[in-house]
Amino acid sequence: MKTINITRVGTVIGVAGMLGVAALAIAADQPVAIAATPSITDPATLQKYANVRVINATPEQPMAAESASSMSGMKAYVDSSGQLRGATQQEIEAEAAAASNAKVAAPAAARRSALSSAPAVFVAENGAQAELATDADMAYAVAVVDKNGKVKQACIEGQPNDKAALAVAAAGVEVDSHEE
Amino acid sequence: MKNKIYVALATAALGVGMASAAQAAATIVILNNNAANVGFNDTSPRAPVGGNPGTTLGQQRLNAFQEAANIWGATLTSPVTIVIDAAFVPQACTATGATLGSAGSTLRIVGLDNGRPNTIYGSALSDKIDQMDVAGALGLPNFPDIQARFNINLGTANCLPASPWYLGLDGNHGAGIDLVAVLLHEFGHGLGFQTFTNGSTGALSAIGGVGYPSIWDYNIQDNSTGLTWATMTTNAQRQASAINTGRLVWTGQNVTNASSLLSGFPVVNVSGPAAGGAAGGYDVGRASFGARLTATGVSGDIMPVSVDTVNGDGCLPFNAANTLAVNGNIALLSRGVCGFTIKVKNAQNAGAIGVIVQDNVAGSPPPDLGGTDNTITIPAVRVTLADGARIRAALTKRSRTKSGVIANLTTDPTRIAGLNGGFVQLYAPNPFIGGSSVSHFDVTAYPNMLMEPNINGDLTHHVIPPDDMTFTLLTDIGW
Repeated sequence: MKTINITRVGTVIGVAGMLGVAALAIAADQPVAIAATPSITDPATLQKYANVRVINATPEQPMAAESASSMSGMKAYVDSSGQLRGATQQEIEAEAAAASNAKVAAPAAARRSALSSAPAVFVAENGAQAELATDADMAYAVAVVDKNGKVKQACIEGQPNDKAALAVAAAGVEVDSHEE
Repeated sequence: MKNKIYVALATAALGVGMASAAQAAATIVILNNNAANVGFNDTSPRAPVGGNPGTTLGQQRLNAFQEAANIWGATLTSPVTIVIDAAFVPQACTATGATLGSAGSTLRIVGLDNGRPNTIYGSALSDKIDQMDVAGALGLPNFPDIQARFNINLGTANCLPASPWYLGLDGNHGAGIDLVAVLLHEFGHGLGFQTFTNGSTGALSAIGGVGYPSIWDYNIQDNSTGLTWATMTTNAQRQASAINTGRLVWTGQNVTNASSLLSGFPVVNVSGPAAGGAAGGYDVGRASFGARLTATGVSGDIMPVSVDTVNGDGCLPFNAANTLAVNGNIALLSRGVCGFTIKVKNAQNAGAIGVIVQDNVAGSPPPDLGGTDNTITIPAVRVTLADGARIRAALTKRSRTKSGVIANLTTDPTRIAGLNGGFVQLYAPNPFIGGSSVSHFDVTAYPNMLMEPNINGDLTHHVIPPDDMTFTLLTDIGW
């Protein structure tokens, strides 16, 4: 059983045209359309945890969300013979979950947008204020090989970027007395 | 109409999410921000490892992230979902060093309804304290709380090639870097285990051009002056306290109450009828492997092994004479040639109940013993070259199985490692170490804490007592 998500590429070349391309590709037993699909790890394939969810925020995902919002149901399911078929209940539920995930994933894009045109200060109605943290506010984990050839790990903060954090560690900062 | 259908679907799904969040301690979302086929989406096949069932590199990376996030999610309580914007990306690398990754709060926020006035909080803690999506009120709805970026190239050529990520979930990382342990530590910073105040200059962090203390600063105290960072009136005071080694402490009540989990300084007490001038207490370096030292300790005759300058003391399986000597006793070995875990494991296999490693270079205090081997169950310590020589001098009249010089590998209950004035010490070396000082527990804490600046090989994947005080500190600031 094969599934073709036409909502992603459909926005580029048109749904009707895509349907035709997909049908032709499958009929000719050419896996081009499917093999070319970018691979995103499906959260359903991951270990399940009580307090964690994984949501994909890849560039493809917000695009799917936009498509879903304006073209709900525009996904074609094709069986092994290349014939269109109806969606199963599982697939319908997966679509609903994907729509939900995309809604939550949207902040990633919003964040990128906010970062690119960030005002100096965000202000709430109650007077609360915030600034975006910078790379200098991040904590960097680093590992360096010491003079005895052993790897030492340390946590470095207050550095402008990852290169500076590594430079601090490589400069011989002795924060770990464990050695062999 | 279709838009309305979509909104209804999303709202229903969100409702389910909220319901499950109410049942859980806290829900954490890992926002996979990698592009297709990259990082979390790398489809390279992998065999399951250390309890991680993923069969692709991307799945294993995500499972490790989930494992660490779940430990925090099961520990924290918040009605607001915590979102971690995560990706594997290139980071600084050389053949001998690498930035493993970074994490931190995405926002610095002041003016919470239920928080301390004029005080800076991180994003996730702000949501917890005001019981709402604070970023949303700031015009950034559903904004991620924590950003996490980790090195996609670790373990490849020119990027610490001998130290790849260990993606197992069981802590058996060997020569690899335990991703779960690193994530627990860095997520801890992102959740609030840090001050935004600059320890190097003493300057408060500014929002809108105005400096404010961080919530941390109410609990950072200089025991020399009795002032907290929030009550200090000058940057110079904070700057000076940041290098007041041993006397910069955390005064939060919860951490102070939990500090009973810290042990006394590790020592070896030497006694016995043949001890002579060697009798007394010696400071020792502790091992990151094997049994932890206890107040009761492990006692036995000290028995040296025959010196092996070629292969190194204890580097090969013990011969019959050495096995007879150390069996049921405490083995005395010299440092050198091979790793500590090899020496101690060979001694353990020969029946030793403990190991003293004598340093092979002068210097004091004796450094700790590094290495990882979960099959080692006996305690091991290091003494200085000079102390080892003093002990050896008392062993000249030993039999093949007894020396009459008794060692007790133990802890000194009169000197608690990591405490000053009854408060847990923060890391405050002099000179100031940019990035490591202040926002960590001190390295003298024993057992090792997750939030020491060095990520030690003997850490468990726990964030609460009796193994750790990371979450305890977070409760002091409002978690």
